[in-house]
Amino acid sequence: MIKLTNVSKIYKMGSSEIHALRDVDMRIKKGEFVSIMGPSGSGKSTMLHLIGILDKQSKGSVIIKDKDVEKMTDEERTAFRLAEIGFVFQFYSLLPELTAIENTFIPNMLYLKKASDEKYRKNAAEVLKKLGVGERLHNYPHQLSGGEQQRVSIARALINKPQLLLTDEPTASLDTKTALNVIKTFRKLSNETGQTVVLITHEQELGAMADRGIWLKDGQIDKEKRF
Amino acid sequence: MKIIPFLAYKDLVRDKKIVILVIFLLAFSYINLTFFPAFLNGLSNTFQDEVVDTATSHIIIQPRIESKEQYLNFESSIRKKVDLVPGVAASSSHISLSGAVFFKDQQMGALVTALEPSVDNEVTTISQKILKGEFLEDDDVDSVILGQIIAGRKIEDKIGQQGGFGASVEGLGGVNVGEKVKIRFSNGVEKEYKVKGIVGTQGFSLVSQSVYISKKEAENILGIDDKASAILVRLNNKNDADRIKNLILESGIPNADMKTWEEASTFTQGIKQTFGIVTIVTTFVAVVVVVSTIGIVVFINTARKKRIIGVLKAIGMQKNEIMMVFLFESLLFGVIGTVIGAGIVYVALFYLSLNPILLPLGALVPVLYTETAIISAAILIVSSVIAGYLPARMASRQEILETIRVVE
Repeated sequence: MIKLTNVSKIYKMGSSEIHALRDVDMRIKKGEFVSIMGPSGSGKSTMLHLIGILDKQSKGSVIIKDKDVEKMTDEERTAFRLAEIGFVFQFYSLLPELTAIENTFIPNMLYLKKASDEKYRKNAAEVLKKLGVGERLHNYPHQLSGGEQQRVSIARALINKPQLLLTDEPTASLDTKTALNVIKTFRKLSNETGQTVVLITHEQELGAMADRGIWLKDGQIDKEKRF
Repeated sequence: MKIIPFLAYKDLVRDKKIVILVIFLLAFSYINLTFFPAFLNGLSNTFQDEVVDTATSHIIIQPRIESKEQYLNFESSIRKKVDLVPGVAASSSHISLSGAVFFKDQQMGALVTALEPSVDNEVTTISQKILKGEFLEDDDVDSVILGQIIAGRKIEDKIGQQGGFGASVEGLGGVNVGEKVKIRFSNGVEKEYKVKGIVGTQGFSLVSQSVYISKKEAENILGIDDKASAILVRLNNKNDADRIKNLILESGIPNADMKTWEEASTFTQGIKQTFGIVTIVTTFVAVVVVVSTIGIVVFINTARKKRIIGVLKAIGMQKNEIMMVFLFESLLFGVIGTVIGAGIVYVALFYLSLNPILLPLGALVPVLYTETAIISAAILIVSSVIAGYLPARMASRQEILETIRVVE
């Protein structure tokens, strides 16, 4: 599913260079649940941005679903993200003017341009119900708890049935119990639907709920462990 | 592309107060764009009607300048010929004289117009503008009609005493009906006349500044017969003036120069041109207001939504789709503002058509031409979209990683 070969990412800050990733080789199989851990500045987020084709590597190759993402145009990359990748961000990033169900069906509207409103609503309601927020369809983000908002953002990431779910510190703003529930949701998704999940976290115990953990340090893979 | 109107609508509904404010600002910009020209059109129409009704009528026939003739000869036969042209309602001859009018110790230069009241009533409205006394009869040779500015008045001084220190007079200082004035004509003839009436209007008018005598009296003074300085032709429909002018030309009137009411009223054309320039300035101001308002509102909106825009791009929304959302919002601002503005303008115009504005210049009914209404709407809507374009484009082209790092 994901193949990183000899990947480096260098940020230029004036005359100096910052090596966010150095010659990283990594493989993630379809259906695998992988957590990427490490201290701040270790390159976790940079790796997620490259896998999510939000950024371009300075060196090496990134292959997602057998596609060399470097060869894609901007428009192709955006279309690829829409169809194949679901994102869950740290701060939920829901549109405050939309209800839970409306926030959820936005990617569906972008993807299935000719479908009816009823179809979008039906699809979104199904995903939200599966994630346990079926009673909160018509609530606005400010009317939802942090955990509920994160579930809505997971629903939004899943509505187009992407093969890859990328989550960037999704539990950082949640309490321990809610955070645990969110990770359990990913675990369940991986077990039941064969969803490929990449979880970026700095919390070891949450990362340990994945199939495999990858630790980064100074832009390089420090160690890997199967749980 | 359902997502574009969907997101634009949701975004606008969220900020109702700002949206209402912007829409009303645009509505008032539309009012500014249309009502001011409508007001000016009404004003120039008031001037134009006054000139047509009292000085030129719909077609004016005068001696050709090159002929160096002061008068049209055989005016009665010219009028007969003109009256036979289909579309002509009536015609009237005027003789112009210049002279000085004396009253007590006051004197004033004036243009004296001689006319045949019984005929002229069908062509001009001069006789209807009588304020005091009566208008002339065809046979009046010892009477005169004074315009109210010529008749004049005394102006009280600041402490309210007539004739006191600081007091002054206008015109001849206040001639009353029945009093006598002396006129010294430019050919040297001097004669005393009884003032039979005072003419004028509340607002601007040429009659207020004129002196009228009968045609018969003018012929006596000048020693002429069957001559006219001008023949005024009233038509059944003033919009036929060009066509009927050509018909009259074809009938053959020697040494005559003919002008339609539009060609003759160079004064009102000058006013219209001046108003045109003023309108361009107000249009420019309105466009600047619209572009600044929409530009700032969209810019603030996109800056506030920086992170959300980044997230939408990350989850698969194309740059152009994001730009279109904000452009659609600008379009909605423009369209709704225009519709509300147009509604207000047309209601106001309808009300003012029933209740004209009474200005010192006269009663004014604003006139909005359809093309002005359409062009103003187009200017407003296009300006709104153009104003939204730059901030929308900037927002859609932001780097995803720069925007999603922003913490709300």
